[in-house]
Amino acid sequence: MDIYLPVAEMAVPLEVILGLGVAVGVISSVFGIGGGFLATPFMVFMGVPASFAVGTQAVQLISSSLSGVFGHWRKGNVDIKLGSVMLAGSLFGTVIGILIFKLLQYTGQIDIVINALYVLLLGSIGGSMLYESFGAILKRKHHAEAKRSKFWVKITQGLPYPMMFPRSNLCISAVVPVTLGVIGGLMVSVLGIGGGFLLVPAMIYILGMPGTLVVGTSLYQILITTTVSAFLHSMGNSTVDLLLALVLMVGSLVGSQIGVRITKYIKGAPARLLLALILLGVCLRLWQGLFIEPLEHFTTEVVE
Amino acid sequence: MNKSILIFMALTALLPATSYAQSNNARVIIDLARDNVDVTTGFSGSDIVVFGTVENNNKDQSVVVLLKGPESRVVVREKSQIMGMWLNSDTITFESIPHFYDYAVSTREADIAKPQILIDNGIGLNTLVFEPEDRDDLEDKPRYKKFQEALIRNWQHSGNLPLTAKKVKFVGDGLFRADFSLPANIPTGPYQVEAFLFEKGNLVDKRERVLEVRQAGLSAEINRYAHRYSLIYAFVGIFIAAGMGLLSAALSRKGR
Repeated sequence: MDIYLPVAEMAVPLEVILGLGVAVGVISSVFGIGGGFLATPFMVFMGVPASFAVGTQAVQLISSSLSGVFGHWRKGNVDIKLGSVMLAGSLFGTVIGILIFKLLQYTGQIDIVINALYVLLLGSIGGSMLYESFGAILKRKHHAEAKRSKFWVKITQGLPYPMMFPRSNLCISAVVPVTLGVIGGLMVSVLGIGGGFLLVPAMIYILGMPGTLVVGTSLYQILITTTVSAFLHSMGNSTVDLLLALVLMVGSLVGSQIGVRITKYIKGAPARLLLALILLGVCLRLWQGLFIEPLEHFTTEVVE
Repeated sequence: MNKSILIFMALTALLPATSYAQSNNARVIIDLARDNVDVTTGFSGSDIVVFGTVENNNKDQSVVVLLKGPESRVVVREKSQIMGMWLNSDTITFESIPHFYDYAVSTREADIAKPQILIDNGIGLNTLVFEPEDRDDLEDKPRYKKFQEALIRNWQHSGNLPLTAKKVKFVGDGLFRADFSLPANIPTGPYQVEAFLFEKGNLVDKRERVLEVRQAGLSAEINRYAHRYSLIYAFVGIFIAAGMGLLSAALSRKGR
């Protein structure tokens, strides 16, 4: 059955969008990441213009990050101070990202840039996760964390504006979390993903945050950023299709309930291996779009 | 469908009366089964039926019906391989291309009239004017032609342009119908329905109607708010998302 998207002004198969939402929900509750990396490229495959995929995804991200941050908040696993410092960067990143998006749209390269960035991100994260989880499964332990932290400590040591973060028991230059925030904000507004899968390891390895606080803090930061992004996308570009967002959110609500129930069976290194394979699978599919000769060399786009 | 049958019957009833009135002047009259197409959330394309009659129908006459959508600016981009990647490398923007065009003929196109006459009346795919936004794009003829053909090919593929002319079907004494189908991805706006009556290669009569394609119901409301009251729209979106998020969190707690 087709559903006509009133703002994107096109018809898409309802069951596919709903299924996509379910997949996103399962992934986000099993692996604790947003699942936007699956939703945005998939919508673009289906012919939804990239601008609508990203704008709508910003709304759907509000619901997934809010439901995630809720649980962490109750357990006190959110470092508000650190998250807010990151926010300063990510809000700036969001605004810049929306401008970059408009510029790329104008030059007609937006789909390709999004595609290439996804290939780069998913490929590197998926690849390193695959390597790490394989190692962990084989050796039943991993000692990479401490080493990497030291490397980043050296790099970030001399930076100005040191700040105390008592909740995380950290003293680090404010430049570092702000920079991470900028990257996070750019990912939200250009790629339509919260960027948790990049921010979470970065906060562990680069900031040296305790693992218990990382997910909650990054979700808190993503929640505010994506709310602002959704606001800017609907006010400035009118590229938010609420019907599309609603179908995705309903699907992901169902998916997250399924995910919660199966999550006890998928844990630790095998879970990370599975996630790595999913990431690489999406990466491969996008890679094809970039490197395999398309059947039709020409594309058309109606403007105005 | 009931409505179209009614119109069909009404037209049949009118037929003898009008043909007596003007016996020498051949005339064509058309009507639409529906004056408007409502694009709702369940919209997946629509069939458009045009009914009409020709007075003093004879063998030398032929009828053409065309359906034309609102015009829009279209960007055509060419991908080519740069450093292994397929990137958009070249582009031409065309001004005012009808986002939908289809036509139906009662006889072979070549038998209707001279090509020039058809072109003057906007009949057939080769009457579409492909005017590039940048006049310099006209300089390189083969390149211009390549882009023009690509646009036609892509739009034929999506159903916005026809591969060949449809058929005008005569169902009775001077009574005809033409069937068109609009794909789901059409733009909203006024669509032009035009009927032409040719006799021995000359245009003898022409009729125009407007078919209004517009969003209706919930779909129209959402679209209106998204564009006109975007502040309210943004807040509604954020609240819905927040509500769904909290619901999801509450359910997950139960599920554990």
